[in-house]
Amino acid sequence: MEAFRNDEIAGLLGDFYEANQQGNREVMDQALMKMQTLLYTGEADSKPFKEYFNNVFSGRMPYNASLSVSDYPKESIIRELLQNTFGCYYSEQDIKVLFNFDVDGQIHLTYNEEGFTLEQILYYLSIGRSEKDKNREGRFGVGSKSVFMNVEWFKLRSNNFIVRLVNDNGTIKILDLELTAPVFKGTEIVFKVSDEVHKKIKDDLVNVANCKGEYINLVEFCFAFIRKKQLGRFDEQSEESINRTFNVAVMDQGKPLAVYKIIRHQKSPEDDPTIRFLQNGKSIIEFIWYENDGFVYLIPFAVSSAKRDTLVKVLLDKYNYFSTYELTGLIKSTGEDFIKEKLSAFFVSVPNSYVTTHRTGIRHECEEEVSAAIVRDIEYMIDKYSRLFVLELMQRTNSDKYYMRPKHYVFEFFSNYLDTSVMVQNLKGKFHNCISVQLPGKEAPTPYPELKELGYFSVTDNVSKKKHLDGSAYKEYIEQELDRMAADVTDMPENIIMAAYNWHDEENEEEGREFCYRFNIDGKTYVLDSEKNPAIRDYDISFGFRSIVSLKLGKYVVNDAVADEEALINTLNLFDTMYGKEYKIGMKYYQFIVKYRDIQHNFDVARMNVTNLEKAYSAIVAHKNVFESHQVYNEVINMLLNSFTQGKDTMTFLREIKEQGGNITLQLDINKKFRFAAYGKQFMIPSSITNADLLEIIGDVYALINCGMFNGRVFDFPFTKAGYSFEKASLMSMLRSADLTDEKVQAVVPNLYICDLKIPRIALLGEKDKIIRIVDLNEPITEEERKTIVRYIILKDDLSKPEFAKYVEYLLVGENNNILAQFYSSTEEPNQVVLDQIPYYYKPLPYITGSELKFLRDQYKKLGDLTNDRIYRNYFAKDVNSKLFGYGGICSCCGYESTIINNFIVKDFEVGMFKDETEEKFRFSLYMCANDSFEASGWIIEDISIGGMNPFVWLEEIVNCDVIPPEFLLCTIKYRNQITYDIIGSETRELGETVSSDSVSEGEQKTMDITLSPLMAAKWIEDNHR
Amino acid sequence: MGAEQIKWIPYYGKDLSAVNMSFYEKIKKFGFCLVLDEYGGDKNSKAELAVIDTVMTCEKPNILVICAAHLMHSWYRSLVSLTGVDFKMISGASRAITYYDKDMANAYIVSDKALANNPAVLKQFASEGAAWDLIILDAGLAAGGVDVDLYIEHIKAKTQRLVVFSPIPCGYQQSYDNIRRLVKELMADEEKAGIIDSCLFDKSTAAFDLDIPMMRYFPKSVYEGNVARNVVMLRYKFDDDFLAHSRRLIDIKTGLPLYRSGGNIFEEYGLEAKKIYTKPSYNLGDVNDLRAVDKKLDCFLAKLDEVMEDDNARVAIYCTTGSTISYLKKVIQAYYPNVPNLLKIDRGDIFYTEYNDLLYESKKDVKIVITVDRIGSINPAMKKTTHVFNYEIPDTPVLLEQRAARHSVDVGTGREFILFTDDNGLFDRRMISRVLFGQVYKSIVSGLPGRNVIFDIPDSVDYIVDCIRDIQYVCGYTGEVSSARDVIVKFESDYNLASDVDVSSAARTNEYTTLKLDKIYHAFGIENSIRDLNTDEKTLRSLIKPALDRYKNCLVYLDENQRIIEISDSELKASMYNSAYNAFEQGLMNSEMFKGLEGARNELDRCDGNKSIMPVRECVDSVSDSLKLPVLLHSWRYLKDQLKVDDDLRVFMKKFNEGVI
Repeated sequence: MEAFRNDEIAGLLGDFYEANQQGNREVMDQALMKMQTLLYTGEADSKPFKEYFNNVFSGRMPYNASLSVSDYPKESIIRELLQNTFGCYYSEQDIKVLFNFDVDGQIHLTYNEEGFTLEQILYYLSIGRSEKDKNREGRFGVGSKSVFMNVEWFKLRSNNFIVRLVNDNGTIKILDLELTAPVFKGTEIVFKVSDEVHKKIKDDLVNVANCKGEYINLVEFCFAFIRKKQLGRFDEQSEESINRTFNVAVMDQGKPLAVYKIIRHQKSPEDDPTIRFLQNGKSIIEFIWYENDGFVYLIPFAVSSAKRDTLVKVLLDKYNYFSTYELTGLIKSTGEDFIKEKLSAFFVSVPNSYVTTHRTGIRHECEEEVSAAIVRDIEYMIDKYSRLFVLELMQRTNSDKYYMRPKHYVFEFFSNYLDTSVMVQNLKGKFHNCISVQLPGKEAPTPYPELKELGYFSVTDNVSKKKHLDGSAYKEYIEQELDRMAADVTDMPENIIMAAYNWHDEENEEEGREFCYRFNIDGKTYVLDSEKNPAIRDYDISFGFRSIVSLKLGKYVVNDAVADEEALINTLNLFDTMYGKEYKIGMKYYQFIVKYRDIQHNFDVARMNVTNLEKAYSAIVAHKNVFESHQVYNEVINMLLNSFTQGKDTMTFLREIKEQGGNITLQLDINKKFRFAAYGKQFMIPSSITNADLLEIIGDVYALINCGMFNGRVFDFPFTKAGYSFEKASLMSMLRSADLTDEKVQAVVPNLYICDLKIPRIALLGEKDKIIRIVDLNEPITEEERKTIVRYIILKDDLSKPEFAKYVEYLLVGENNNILAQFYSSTEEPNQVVLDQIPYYYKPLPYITGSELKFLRDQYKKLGDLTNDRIYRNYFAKDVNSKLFGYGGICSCCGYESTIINNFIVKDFEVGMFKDETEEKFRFSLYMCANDSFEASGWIIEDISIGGMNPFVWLEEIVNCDVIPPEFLLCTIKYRNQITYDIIGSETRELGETVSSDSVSEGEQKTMDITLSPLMAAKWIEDNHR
Repeated sequence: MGAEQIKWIPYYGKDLSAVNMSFYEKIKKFGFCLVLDEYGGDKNSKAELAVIDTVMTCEKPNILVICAAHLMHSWYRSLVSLTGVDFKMISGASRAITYYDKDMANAYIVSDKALANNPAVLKQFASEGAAWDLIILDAGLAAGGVDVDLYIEHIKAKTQRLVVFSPIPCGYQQSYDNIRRLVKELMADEEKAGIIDSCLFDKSTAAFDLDIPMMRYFPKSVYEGNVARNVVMLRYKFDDDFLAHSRRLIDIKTGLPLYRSGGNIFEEYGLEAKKIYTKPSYNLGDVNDLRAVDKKLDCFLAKLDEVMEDDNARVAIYCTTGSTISYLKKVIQAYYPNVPNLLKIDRGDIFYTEYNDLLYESKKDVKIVITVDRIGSINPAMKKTTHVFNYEIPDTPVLLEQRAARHSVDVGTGREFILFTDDNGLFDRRMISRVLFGQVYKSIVSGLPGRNVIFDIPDSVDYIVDCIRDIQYVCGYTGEVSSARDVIVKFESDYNLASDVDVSSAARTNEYTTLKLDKIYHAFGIENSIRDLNTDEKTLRSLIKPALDRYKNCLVYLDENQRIIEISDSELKASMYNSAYNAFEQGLMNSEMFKGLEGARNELDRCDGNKSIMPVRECVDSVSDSLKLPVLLHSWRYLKDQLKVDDDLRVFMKKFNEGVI
């Protein structure tokens, strides 16, 4: 029969698609029915359909929506095909899909569905998406077009339908379309791809459990299974068929390569069902799944240990192509080697409508919606699976420390997902509250809400890498911190304290976190220490711990307020300790608002009762930089001051400030009047204040003097009359100043007083003890002032008389030249030599060698450049060695002995003696006391012999001796004294008259035996050889 | 008369006790001896023995004495006047005339400072390859021990004999390797020096043992098993009202009290009576006025009166400040106006500068000596002291012990060591409790047994407990309150903290006090039980009292854990007052020295009074030059003492020298 109504087909198809788009099922059904009738009656054949679709594919029909060749990645073909596979109806419980790889790039795909309906074939050939078909539609299928675009040719046989099409350089052309062919049970698709693609697809399918294929992968199979777990007619809402399985066989030219099976598994009816993936009959991985509102979640639950290594890699790969876009990690659950492995995935499949056309992610405009949905679902899941969120605290092998591991894989997935997901935030709290921790020695896991009640943390940020590496960070931020915290929680029988620091290295952008927990449970301590090992994890269980601050804060902040400055200081110190200097203090209505990261503490400071201002003040000053603004800081200071000074009179609170160690200074106010200033505030000086009070408050007496505060005030310190007395006559004679008059001495000396202020100054007092001025030594005092001065008070009471005399001299003549001080000090010049020898007459006389004498002669020559007479003569008192003695403190003439070496003089003589018939001068010297020295000026020396020799003989002898016997040092001098009978200055003589020879007579001849010191002998020799 | 006999006469008059003779034995045997923890006259006796022995055995002895600069004169006077060996001081001044001749005897005293400047004469000595016959190193009172590097670097020459005087040979808690190195570096005889390696610096040093070259034998009383000193406490009290109305003098710059020795109310408070106090001299009326105000003075004079009734009483009064010295000087001079030889101020360098000792005139002892710490006079007169008043207390227990030890044992346990204490708890009591007991861990040396007089203070437990409670308070307060300046200042002044102690903040103070407490606890071995800052007095007392009881009559030392360990009474007797000591004492009379001295005396006994010089001269001519004066000096002393020769030394020598001519 001729198909005579072929013209109507295009119209009916148009109606169908239009109605489909509008969702008008009735019109769709009518159109379908009509087309079916036309086909089965033979009034129309497949030809108009073929033309219609060819027009669609070549762009001549409006339904060719927005897709072009490039929109159909070739890697999607298997997925599309599978999508179709699952879009079908199955009368059997198990879905069986067979991939057979044939020669020549052909791939046969057979599946046991009921067969396409006309409607389905229409969809299939269009871009085929039914909005209404959400329940059935998998993620597959942006359209069969993507398949067509990526094969060389394509053949489909199903039911009564046969389609054959080719890809003609990007344009799809339907070669055959048979809608009324003989029935074919199931569906068979054959297509040809390039050899390369052929091989790749085969590899991917065979290795689905070993690597993530580009064309298909394990997770996608599982999602597909979940999508199609329901059976039933198209557009029926059927119940889940829980026993359905999904089977995929892969063959190479009829030879089996691999068989996969995906099943729903339920241990017992109470348990949550899981998805199991089997390879060649063995279960290799099991997922927990949850779905809600088109969102599907797969969470790896168990992995076969044999496959673990490869599977972990598979799961680790990126999965965002197949609408499965979020990944997190997994660790292996047993043993200490958990350290090495790390991750697995957390898979979320979102409904197609949210996915971008390119299947690469969530459409931007839907992100919020998707995110909300995921959060909702995960919240639900967290509740549902909380029993699986168990962490175990286990002892490490070869260590007394502990590590923590999740009892179930799923924990990891949740935890990592929540950590890394950008779609889900703020669920950590929820999650953490569902965790429980199996502590050693406890029978049941402790739920997190209970655990966190015990927990306190302390975290330090921004630690440098250097500190991290050299261990100092660990010591400072972890060890010490923990010890400190331990002290704080001593009153808690069970507690968990945790300290951590985050380090980072700006140069290399490296960063890391180190932590240590101490679980103090049942009197035992379990330590969990990261030890720079990134694999040792704490699963963020400190997340809900309280900062140690809040615990301690309770001690100081009562009823949301600090009671006094102690509490305030403690509170601030607490923040310092816990937050470093990173927190900020703001103030609102006299409430401190302390912010640190996300933490905020509020407490009232207005009701504070300040008793020690200095303490409070210095605490606030020390925290100047943590106040949000300077304004707040100033406000706080003012508040403290007001609270402190309220209800007290000025002197009371000033005294208190002083006692507390506060600093009170003097400041000029705007009227140029002095005021007390403390803590940036000025206070009036009470008119009744005494000097002692003033001094007590200001402390610095120099400041008071210099600013003239004392001037004009009554001197009310206790003072007493000076103890030293000075005779007027001696003062006058010593000072010899022209303007030093009797009156002046009379005005000053009896009016000298002392006061024990320990300051080297003098207060000049006028009438009624009013202070005129306080002066420093040598500061000029005017005559005007002098007239008004009644008392001179030296503000130092422990002066010796010479020191005191300095003040007297200054007061009398206007400056101190130490004339009086010197007079009253006992010594003119100190002794410069302390004797260190035994006097010669206490010792046996020695023999002296020639070399020793030579040494002494050299020494003597060196003394010649000494200009200081005192030092020069002191040399002769010195001994130089045990034999070569000097004179010490004994006069060689009279034997006078004194320790005061300045009493002695080396006196030089010159006497004419005969040497070989001619007179020659013999020079010699004697070391004698001052008395004898004066007397010796009048000596008439008659004879001198040394060692029984004429001195000139002695000189010759002694320089030639190798050994000088003692007798060479024995010397006899014969002399006469000259005696003056008249005393100079006696009444009968005029002043200045010289002594005449009449009044002088010679005394008897005397003989003086002396023992020369070797040094003196050397001098004699040298002086005569000059 | 024989020169062989008479040459022993320089030992005449020396303290030839068993302890000193054991030193002599050690020097003979080992060539060196470390004398630890001896002061004053005890040190001097040993040095004399070493010097005389050297002069006797060496023809031209080279002797070097090294000491602190301020001790030079003390050493000079004691060595020269008591041995007759003519030491020369090396001042280190550029113009000093020093002469070295290797053919002569060379005996020098040099200060460590001068030594460090390498004086020419020592340089020459070393460069000519000469060796010392005797080196005496006096580390004085240095708590840091012997400055080994200084000596090794600058002495350069080796020595036949070495004597080291030191409170502790190395610093507290240091290794003793240094002292071993010193001995090995300085000793010429390597074999002898090697013996130092076997010396243990531990409690065995307190035992009497002739086989080790080390001495730490304690005063006679130790051997009688009674080490406790007779500490007498004098109590006084100021009226509370009086103090409350007096102004404490504060250093305006530091905020600390001007005066911190706790012994002189006039220096500490601004008082009305200060106008009397500052007078240049007092009369009896003034003293009575002062007594009325200064309760401590009153208490002191009452005791002094009691003491002065005994003609044999000799009093040492220790002060730490010049103003208190002059205060007491003025008071005592006014209070005993007509007592001859009443008072002397011992400032170390001007005490006994005259050579009267050489003349051996029994110089009339002054009754009262006002003295200070750290001057370490090598002064035999110190031994006669019967009463030691601690009018002001030093900053450290080490010095307090040195005060007790410096006076040797001549008076034995009868000597009263007098401390003051005030019921106000502000003056002496503060010093004892806070300053001395606050550093109780510094009072003794680790390893080497010793004694500190603070353990002999009656009721010392009160002071310690008081101190611990106080530090606990400061520690607790500064641990909680960060702005604790008032407490810190009080702490700083109460404890006389040295300026290098950092108590600038509450945290530092807390740190410091924690450490201090720890050390005190540690010392008493109670660290674990009372770490709590609020230990009540009763508990503390019960912990400390037994410890103190244990230390009674014991030598004590710090073990490696810094705990005080006692060597008990019986242990002392067994280890020190042992058979070796007895046997040695018994055998002394047969020793060469005793026999020699006996022989010399016999020779001199045969002399005929005033004509004795002739036979002596014959002998002396044949002894070595450097031994001549020692022999003459001690012969004269013997003749004068025993045979009542009238000549003074000058005349005696004149006769001798004339004989030469």
